[in-house]
Amino acid sequence: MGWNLTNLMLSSLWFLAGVLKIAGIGTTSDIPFGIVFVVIGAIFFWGVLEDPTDHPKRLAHTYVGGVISIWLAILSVAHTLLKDSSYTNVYFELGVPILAVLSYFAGLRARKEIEAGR
Amino acid sequence: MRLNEVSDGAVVQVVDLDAPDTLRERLLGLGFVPGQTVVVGETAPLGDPRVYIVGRKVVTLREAEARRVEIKPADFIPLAMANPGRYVVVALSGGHRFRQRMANLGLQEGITIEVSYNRGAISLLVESGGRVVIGRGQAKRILVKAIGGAPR
Amino acid sequence: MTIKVALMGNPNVGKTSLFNALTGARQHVANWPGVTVEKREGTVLHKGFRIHVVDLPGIYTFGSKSIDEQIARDYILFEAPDVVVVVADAVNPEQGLYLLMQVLELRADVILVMNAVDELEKSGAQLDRYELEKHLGVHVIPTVATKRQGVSELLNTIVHVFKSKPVHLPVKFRYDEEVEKRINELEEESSSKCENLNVPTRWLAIRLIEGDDVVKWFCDIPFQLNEEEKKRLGLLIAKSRYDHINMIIREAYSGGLSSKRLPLDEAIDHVLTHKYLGIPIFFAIMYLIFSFTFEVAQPLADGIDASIAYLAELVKASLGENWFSSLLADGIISGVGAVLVFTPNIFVMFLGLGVLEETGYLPRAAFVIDRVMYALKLSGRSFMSLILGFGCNVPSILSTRAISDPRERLVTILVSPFVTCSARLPVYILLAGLFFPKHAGSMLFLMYSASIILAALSSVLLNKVLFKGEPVPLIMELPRYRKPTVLGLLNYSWSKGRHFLQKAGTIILAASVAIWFLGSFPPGDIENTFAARLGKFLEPIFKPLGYDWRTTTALIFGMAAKEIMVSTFSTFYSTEGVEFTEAMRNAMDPATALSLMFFVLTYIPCFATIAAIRSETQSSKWTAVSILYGLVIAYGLAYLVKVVIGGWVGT
Repeated sequence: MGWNLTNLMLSSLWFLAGVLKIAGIGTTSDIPFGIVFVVIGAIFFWGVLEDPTDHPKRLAHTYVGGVISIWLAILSVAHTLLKDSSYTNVYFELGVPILAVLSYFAGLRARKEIEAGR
Repeated sequence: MRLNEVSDGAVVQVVDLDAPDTLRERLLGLGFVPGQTVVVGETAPLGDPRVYIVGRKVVTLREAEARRVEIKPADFIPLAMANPGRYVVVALSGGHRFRQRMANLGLQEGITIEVSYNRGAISLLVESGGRVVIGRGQAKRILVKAIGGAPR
Repeated sequence: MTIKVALMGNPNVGKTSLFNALTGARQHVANWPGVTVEKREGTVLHKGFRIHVVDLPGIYTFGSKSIDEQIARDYILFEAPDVVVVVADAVNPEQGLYLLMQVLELRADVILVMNAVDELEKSGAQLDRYELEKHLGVHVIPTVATKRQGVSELLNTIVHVFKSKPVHLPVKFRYDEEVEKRINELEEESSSKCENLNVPTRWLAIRLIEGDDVVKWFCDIPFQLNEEEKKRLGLLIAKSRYDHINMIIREAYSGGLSSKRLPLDEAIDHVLTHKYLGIPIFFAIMYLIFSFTFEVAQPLADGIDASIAYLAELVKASLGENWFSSLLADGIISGVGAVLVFTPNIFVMFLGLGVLEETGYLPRAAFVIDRVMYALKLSGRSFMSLILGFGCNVPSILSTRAISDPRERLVTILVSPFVTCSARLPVYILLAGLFFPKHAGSMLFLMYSASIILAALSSVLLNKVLFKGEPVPLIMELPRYRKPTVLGLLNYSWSKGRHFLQKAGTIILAASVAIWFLGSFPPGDIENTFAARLGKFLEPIFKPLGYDWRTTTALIFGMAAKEIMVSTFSTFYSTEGVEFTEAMRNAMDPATALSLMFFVLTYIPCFATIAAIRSETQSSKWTAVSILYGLVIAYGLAYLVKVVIGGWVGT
């Protein structure tokens, strides 16, 4: 799968999660937390906008986005367990960690390619 | 020319420092010594400061300090910034895997290349006669020196 | 027998890891006299010797006007260590060797440590230590400090160098003809001018040319060197050193040291300092750390809170209702407990910051945000400290230790109390909810914005009035990214966080006893207690602001810790048998309440913060300035709000 497609898909999913979180659709509304989702989406999105011949730059966005995602996921899980333990928003609260783990694996692959100097 | 006047991505050589004792000693300690090649990195989001790569060290300077460093364009430029023309490969900066891959393409230190166009990706002829197209990311890691002579 | 060893090196070469590896757990942290940059000392027993290691601040050049450099230089010059260990980064050796060459001009009993050889080998390069020894004339030990590799060899070598006491280097480095000529002249001049000279004259001459004023310690008579000469010869000296270093590196290194930077580091930097993404990422990361601090740590904090309340109940139940049980339960346990409750938050926050520091993100954050700070005549580094203040001002002030410029550090310490900490939040929430029920959220936002603006304006003002300062240069090295280790993180948060327990704990203990006493004696009617009398005595001062004696008393107690204000309100306003919130609403108008919120924002943050200011500035004068400045601003601002808002509401 091309890196542009990976970046585009991950960014759309994070943007979607951010909008849902801000608007409080299917989850409790938390505007600053939602903005962090949007920022992660933006990191992936700018990867698509990079100079197509400068391959490492595109991969850089995938890697950094992936690493920040996994941190957000840890917080998100803690948040759910400690603060919002009603489990009413199970799709969203499960979806975010899954998305984060996916982003992280994409990031790890990007890292391998960067280190290989391709 | 002063270091604050050149654009991001430029490769320059330090000529002189015009700074008071304390600042001069600090700059010298970080490697801003006459003759040293400095690669200008990216500017911070709000326009100042900027990253400078001195050897392998990454140093940040504000415009006020960069103005103290007198520079001239370097003899060597990254291939990514090369206009069409003839060049000698001076250095390949990367791990041995990168060097191996470049060697497979016929790119090694000391060989002569001819850049035919540079539009993001760079197309060039290597000594052995083969045509190679290199992405911008890789081309930034190859240092070349212009040797004049029109493209064939 | 004791061997005094000084550890020197550039910042971020793993000097502290090496220190920890050398000394193990037996280290203690102490402040330098007069200045407050941390020096760390530790002792290790080896082959019958007590090896006493001192970790000096990371520096690039050997002496000049910055505080770190002075400390390192003065230690080497005046504390007479027996052996000096210079730590260089094996992957980035140039600047480390540059420092080494300067040390070698002063003394010969020096050991060079090339740290992080594992990273070097990973990049495909090899280091020939014997080649380095041949050229430099000192022992060279390759180490991996984080894995304790090479540590015992270093200890052996320290003992060996101590026993053999080398006085002269086997190799001597010579500069250009012109420089050597001037050095000789200055050497002759100094031997006639200076008595009791216990440093090499050659070193002194070179320092003179490089523009160091250290010579005044040794000689009474000034030397004549003009600026132009210092500059020209200084550049020549630096150039010959680097030429020499580059020659040595060519000889001693084989393999891929030609590589410019790690591609991964370059890639990460591209995103984290990105033109559009850099700042949003910075705020996202800061937000994540705050959420960690206040959400993940909260159950722990609540647990401590509950157990303290339980303990207080237990004490009262077992000792009966008397003055002693009240002192223990209401005074000491509740008072100290109110602060201990924050311990989990503090440690979790430092854990988060530890991740940022260990990975190497902090300098990038400072880089990204530097332009804003430049306008305030500060640098990105002080921004990081101020941001911490939203949690608590104490760690914010402690973290200024990382700021190397003393003036910038002082300004940061003085403005940090204006950053509204979490302890002020309960007061805002109470007042905003009572008097502006429909706009409580906006009022909170207003207080936070006002807090940021006040800190920024104060910084500009302090720089203008007190220091007439020029902006601090931001010459910073962005280190290689590193993976944080669990041990390193725990070490970091413990060493930073324990100050909170030690210092705040003792102060709060004393304050709690005092407040309990003032609020309980003489027993009987609450309006007759010392606290109430104090409030009534000071009431006239606050008359123009419209605060009654109850509010005045709350403000006085609030100096100990802002949270105490809420409980003071509840104690004093609930006397008439009405809900205290109801009584408060009757006693104040919205304009007065808003002015009170501004007063709370700006006046004395809390005793713990004052103690932190005192201990970090080492100056009663600056502590007094900070308190007075806060009080004046608080009174002025509160009055302004009262008059403007009061007048506006009135018409």
